Amino acid sequence: DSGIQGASRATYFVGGAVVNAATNLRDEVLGVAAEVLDRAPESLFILSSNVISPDGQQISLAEVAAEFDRLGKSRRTLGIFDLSPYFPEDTTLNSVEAPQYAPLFVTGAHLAEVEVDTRTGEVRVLKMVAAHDVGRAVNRPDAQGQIEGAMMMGLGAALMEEVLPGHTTGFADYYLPTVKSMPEMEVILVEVPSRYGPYGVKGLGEAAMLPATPAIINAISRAIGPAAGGRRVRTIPATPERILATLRGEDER
Amino acid sequence: MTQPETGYLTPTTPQEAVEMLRGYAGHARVIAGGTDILPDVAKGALTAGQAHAPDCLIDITRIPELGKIEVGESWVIVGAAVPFVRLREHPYLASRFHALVDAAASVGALAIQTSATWAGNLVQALPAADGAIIAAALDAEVRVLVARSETGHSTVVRSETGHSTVEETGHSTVEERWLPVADLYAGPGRSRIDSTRELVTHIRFPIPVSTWGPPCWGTAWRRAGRRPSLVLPTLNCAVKVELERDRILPAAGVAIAMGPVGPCPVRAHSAEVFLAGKEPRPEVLAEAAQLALCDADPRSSVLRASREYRLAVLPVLVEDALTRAVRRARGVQD
Repeated sequence: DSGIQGASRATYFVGGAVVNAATNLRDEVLGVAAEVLDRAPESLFILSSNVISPDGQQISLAEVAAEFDRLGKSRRTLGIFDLSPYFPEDTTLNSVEAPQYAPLFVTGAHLAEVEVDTRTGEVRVLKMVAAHDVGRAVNRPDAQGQIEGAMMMGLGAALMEEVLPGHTTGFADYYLPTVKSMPEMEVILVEVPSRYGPYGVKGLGEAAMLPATPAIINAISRAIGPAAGGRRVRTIPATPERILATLRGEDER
Repeated sequence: MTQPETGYLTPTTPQEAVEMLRGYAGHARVIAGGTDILPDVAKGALTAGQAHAPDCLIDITRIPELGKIEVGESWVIVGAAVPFVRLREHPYLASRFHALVDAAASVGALAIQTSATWAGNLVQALPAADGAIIAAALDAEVRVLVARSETGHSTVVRSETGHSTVEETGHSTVEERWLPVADLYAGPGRSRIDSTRELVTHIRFPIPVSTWGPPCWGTAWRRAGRRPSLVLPTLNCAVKVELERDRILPAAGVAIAMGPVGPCPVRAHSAEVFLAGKEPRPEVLAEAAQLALCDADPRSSVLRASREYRLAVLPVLVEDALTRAVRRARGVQD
């Protein structure tokens, strides 16, 4: 009961439930195997597709499954990831004020290096570096890809994506970054385990996108600062026209 | 609503193609890359003056002579079925006509350049088509073929289902003419070429003649847009410069084409006249770039840029292109 399983919490919550279900299933498998092998369940372990005891007794998982069926025991187990005991309700608050518990505290930082043509307001993002504390990288290429995609979305928001009601007709004039807009990207995965997440995982989905846009806008503002009399870009997307207006001290259009 | 099926013919000579156009009497259209016409046909809407999809598309990409790039003594001749990607990859053009190669690389994105053609880009007659701007700077010309009925005429009988049949009578002659690109435009998006009757077979542009020593001319391309590819230009600009003893040739020594700053590609005449015979020092080029504004009357576009922005940035683009073209004319490597 944790709401939508998307965004930053999929691996955290679903992963937690999967770990719990897998642990429960393992306990049941070892319980049945212990009966068959006449050994204490806590002494058994699973190796490859067999349950093995320290004194060399073993039974295959297929045989254990057959024993499940013979006993009329379901092969399915349930997994639950419940953090509510760690986050007791604050009874001093009413239901509107009470915070939804959010055990996901994530940190990340992006750096952007940009080049601005101060005559035209054209921007080229040359390089971005993104560091994110993911707790533990369950799937390393996936985590890196998530962060690279987030940088692309952040770049689009910073420089070009804008809906102009009455004018924007579709993707022909809603400008998304293409490969030619993309900078050199470097991803740093920081792994400081979280307290409650399965195997220490933290969220990443949304977190990776948030810093990209301000990093680029700050870099542009710093690049044009001397030429713009210290004025900074205040509107996204920072189109060439808006950047030139900032440089010239005109009202942004 | 179901549309009548569009026919598709693949002639193997230009003469055959224009005969087919004549046979359909305005109800067929030429297709090469198809990047503009196919979306139109799919939508059922068509360009100027066309109330319905053509009865037939006449594909000119199977005509061998239209698929060639020929570099002669004094002209480069490009077939109408040559896609932009082949202009990009042509070794002679890459070493001598940088602006054409860069313009070809600016059209849409690589996937589009693989199919779209320079001739098609010109016939679309958009005021800032990359192919149109570079053609204007190169003083390009197009060869147009048309088949005319000599005796008698053909009549199209249009049935209620939208199908047409052609009744041919008599014989025809094929006429040919070369047309400067400056004469191609009837207005924004309207070409004087009627691609339901006429066929552009080739585009040619002159190779500047060096009166002394090694080649001393150069070209350059500069474009601004909301992103680096797959976007219509906010502004684009092509420049050709010919030097003689470190001065710009007094007669036709510089060409500056720019868009979208008018209903069709615009030459910066004031700047061109100003530069004639001058030594292209940086401050001279900067002054010429300011003069480009005399011939520019851009519009505001909410989705791309305001008139004010375009006027502010146009001189920068012209100056960049002039500087680069002069450097190339002096033989400085990029």
